[in-house]
Amino acid sequence: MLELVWHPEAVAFAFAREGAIGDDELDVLDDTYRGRFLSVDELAAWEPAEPLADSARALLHVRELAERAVSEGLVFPQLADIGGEWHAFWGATLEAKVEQALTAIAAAAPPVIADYFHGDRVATVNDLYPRLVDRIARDRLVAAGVHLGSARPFGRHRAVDAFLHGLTSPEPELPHGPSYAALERNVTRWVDRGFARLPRAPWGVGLHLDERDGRLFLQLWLHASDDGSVALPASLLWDAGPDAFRFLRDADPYEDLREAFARVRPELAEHGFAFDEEEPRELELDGEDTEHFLRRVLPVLSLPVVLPTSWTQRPARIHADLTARATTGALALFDWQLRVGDLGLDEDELRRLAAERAPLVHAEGRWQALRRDDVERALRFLELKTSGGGMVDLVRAASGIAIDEFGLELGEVSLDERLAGMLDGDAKFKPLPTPPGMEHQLYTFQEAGHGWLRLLGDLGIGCVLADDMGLGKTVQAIAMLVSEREQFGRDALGPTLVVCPMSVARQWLHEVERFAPGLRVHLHHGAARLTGDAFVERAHDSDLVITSYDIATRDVETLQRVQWDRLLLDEAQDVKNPQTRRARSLRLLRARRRVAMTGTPIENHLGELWAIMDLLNPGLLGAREWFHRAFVEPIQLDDDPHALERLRAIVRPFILRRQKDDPEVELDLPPITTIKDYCLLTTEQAVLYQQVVDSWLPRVEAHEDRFGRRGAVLAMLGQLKQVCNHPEMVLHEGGPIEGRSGKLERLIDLLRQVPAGDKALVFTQYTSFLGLVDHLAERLEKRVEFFHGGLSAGQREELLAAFATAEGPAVLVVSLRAGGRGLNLPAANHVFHFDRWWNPAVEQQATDRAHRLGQEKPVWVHSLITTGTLEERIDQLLESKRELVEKVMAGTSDDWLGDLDLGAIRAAVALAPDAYEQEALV
Amino acid sequence: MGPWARAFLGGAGHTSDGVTELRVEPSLITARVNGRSVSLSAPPIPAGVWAAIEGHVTTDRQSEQLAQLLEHTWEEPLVPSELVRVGAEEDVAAVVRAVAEEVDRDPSALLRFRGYDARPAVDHDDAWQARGSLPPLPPPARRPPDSVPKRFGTSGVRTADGDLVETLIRAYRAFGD
Repeated sequence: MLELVWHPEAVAFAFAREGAIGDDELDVLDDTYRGRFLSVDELAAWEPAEPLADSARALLHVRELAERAVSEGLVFPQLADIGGEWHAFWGATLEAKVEQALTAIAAAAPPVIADYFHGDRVATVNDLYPRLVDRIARDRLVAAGVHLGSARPFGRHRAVDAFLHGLTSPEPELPHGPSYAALERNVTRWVDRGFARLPRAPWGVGLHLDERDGRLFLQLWLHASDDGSVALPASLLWDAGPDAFRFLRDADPYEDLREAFARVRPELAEHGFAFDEEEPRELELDGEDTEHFLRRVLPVLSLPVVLPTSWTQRPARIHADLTARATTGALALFDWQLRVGDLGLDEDELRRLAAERAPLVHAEGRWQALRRDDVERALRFLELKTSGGGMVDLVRAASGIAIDEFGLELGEVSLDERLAGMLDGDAKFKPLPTPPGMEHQLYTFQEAGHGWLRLLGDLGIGCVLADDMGLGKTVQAIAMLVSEREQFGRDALGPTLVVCPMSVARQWLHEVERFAPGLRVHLHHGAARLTGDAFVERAHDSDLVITSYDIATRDVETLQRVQWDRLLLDEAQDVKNPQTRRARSLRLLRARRRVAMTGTPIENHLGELWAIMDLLNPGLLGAREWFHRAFVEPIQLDDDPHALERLRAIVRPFILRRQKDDPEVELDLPPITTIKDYCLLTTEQAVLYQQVVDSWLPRVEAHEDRFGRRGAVLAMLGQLKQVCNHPEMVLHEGGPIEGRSGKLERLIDLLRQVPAGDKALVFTQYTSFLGLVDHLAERLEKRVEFFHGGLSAGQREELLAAFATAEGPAVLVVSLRAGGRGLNLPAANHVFHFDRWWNPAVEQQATDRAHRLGQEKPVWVHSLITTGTLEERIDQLLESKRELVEKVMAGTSDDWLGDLDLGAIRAAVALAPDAYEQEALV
Repeated sequence: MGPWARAFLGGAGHTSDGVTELRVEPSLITARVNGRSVSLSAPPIPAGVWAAIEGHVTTDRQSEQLAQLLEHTWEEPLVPSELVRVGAEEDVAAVVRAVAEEVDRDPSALLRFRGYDARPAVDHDDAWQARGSLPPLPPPARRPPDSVPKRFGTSGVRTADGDLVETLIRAYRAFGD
């Protein structure tokens, strides 16, 4: 016989008095009995096969009572803070009959059920009952697929959304974030007041249209006179008596019904609807009756009428069909037709519906209700809709954005061939050859980009050229500027304003001078830059004005005085935040058309995408809040593939992105070979290395908080890396350089092998490398220079220009921070990463300085790694843990090292016994 | 009749004739009246309260001081203000009288009912046996499952699609399916 005992920790203990019955063996009840624990959810669904002892029968009787109570809706919503975590529960309503049943079960149950409750059987069943009620209520809702609220609530109703979701989820815990305290007070007050008072208010009558099995019935209902939403069918009174009515209102339903029905009966009879006089219930309506009732009776009837919930809860949607064709003027002409199903709705019909008591249409063979708000918004759409427009309007129309704010659903879209071709994105435009005035031959894919930029530019459409870094976005833009001047004449077009980061402004200037010497270019920069009329005059005499984001923000008033032909934003990801002064200033500039260039795939960063697109084509992606609701939430929170696909379709015509490995990109770049070069520490380095570890590790371990430890770890790693580079980088003693670093010796070996005439780049993170440069030059007997952040803009420019010539330095040491991005250094075809950044993305960017357009020789990339040290270990870590690499790629630094746990840090920095050998000493 | 017994009896003037098998246990009193079952229950006074007033508890006499201490200082009346009563009205009244008489005879019976020194002496073999027949479930309510929220009415708590009550009614309807 199976016994069951309830435990205060919300578990039931099931056991057989004769022996063990389950896997989870525990000793309870004087160690004699072995059995298993059942959680509340297990107990709620428990169907034991064994015969039941009295204890089990009693507790399962409580379960039966709970099931009945849930079926009757004897529950109430409850919000509780339990140990700092908020929970949503279904509380159990203890009506007198439930309390009595629980007491009677407790009285009949054997004492053993209360073994964990000090023998108190009433306390036992009173503890069990509400837990079962909550669990059974949840299970029913989950099984019925009832979803209320949201698991990841957003917006004004966050707390209540999370609460509702908690009530309909398997588990009661609510997410952190929303503030629940006020909601808890309001819900508790509402429930308490609801139980405490029974309003005294008489019943009136109303009519309900009920749709069952495809048939319609007109039913007589009783409505509480103080609250129209409180209503019960008259048939319930005849069939079940007055219980339900008395639960809701302190009134006599029989008497109230008699009186109210007597008042409305003549009016109903006059319209041909005669209910039974003794026990009025319902009338079945045929098609003709229904039409008569809805069209003629409903508008004039004096009593309340409720339509079927299937009509009102799922109101019909108004669809808008679009037919668009290309024209010579505005690009596209639009013809919009509204309909519900197969029923067309013109303005007159919509006005008639708006004036009706309940807007109803007969479409697709059945009656359907419309939301009044939808009807009114559809009318507003007909008033405000545009009959044509440019590319942005076309995309907004064909994607449904234009009608979304009017609550309409996009129906069928038919576009003529030309417009359909445009929306296909990059498939349809024609490549344009290198313009004659340009002294640089475009690659085939660049000709395609040139054609694309011209097509969208000529249509006045804002666009984003998002080609991979190194594919020559600037040359494509220059080709566009040259060819349109060749076609339309220089004077037909105003100046273009190029806004870019300061670090590439000068490069822009040089590339324009080099590739399109015919373009008149002005660099707006520096303390002595032009202001006022002088600037305006100069701008009008230029084809191109180049400035930086900072200057553009500062000089916005001056720049506003010019009507620009085009605004060109380079490295446009720098304006990703629309709230910044920079973004707001750019919006103020007057430009006939706009282009953005970025090497970042902005489609993956929705906030950036909106900010850049809205700057280029205002309104294309709707208001920011709408965009958030329509795309960011579904895509980022719910991984909704439809929303993502819809967004891609919308932006596709405006973005051109090619990657280096796309088949169409035939860069003909020479091959690249990557080599890892291993070297050993000298004894001096090994001793120093160990000293650094010994002095820093205890400090790292002493930090208990993550942030403090992180700083110590990064400091230690920085020192170790410099020790691996050369002892002098940490000692600064001014001692001799030669023979003290295995790595430097290896670098010199490798640099000596670089063929005459080839140039090399050496990347390092440490400006202390400066102390090694002269030594390097001496040993190599070649000119070696150092490009670092301490050089002035002029010095940098001079150095880069010299390096590009055959006579210039043979080796350029580059500080990764100063020159990792944006530089064009194709003169070099040997790349050395002297120390590791441990972020493949950063190293790749550095390598791309040499392996880019203009490179004609095979490229060799060497990474120098000191064996047996953290350099080798972290290199192995990167190689072996793909996941980690991806995480690193997402960031831009090697800060992740600071987050390793202590064990991993110790292992990474430990010096292997074979890390140094006498042979390493020179 | 002592003060505890008087308070328990209230104004009822009935006899305890026919009452048998009277048992007073923590939170629960059961008896038979002419063969019919009667149960009375009330939640116990929390163990913490009993522990706090340990020095004032008397089990051999009906201390008015103890009753007042519980009622006024701890707001836990020794004689519960409400009892859940299961049984015919007259039978219940007879049992109430019998309990009052029992309390007169043994004041600790009331303390036990209220959870003091709670664990009843139960014969080990007897602990496994049902004390009576399980009651039939109460007759089903003849009202729709969404009656509770309907009675509550508008909550004033806004949800994405209206008032909280409108949203919750969808859940209540699913309970009845």
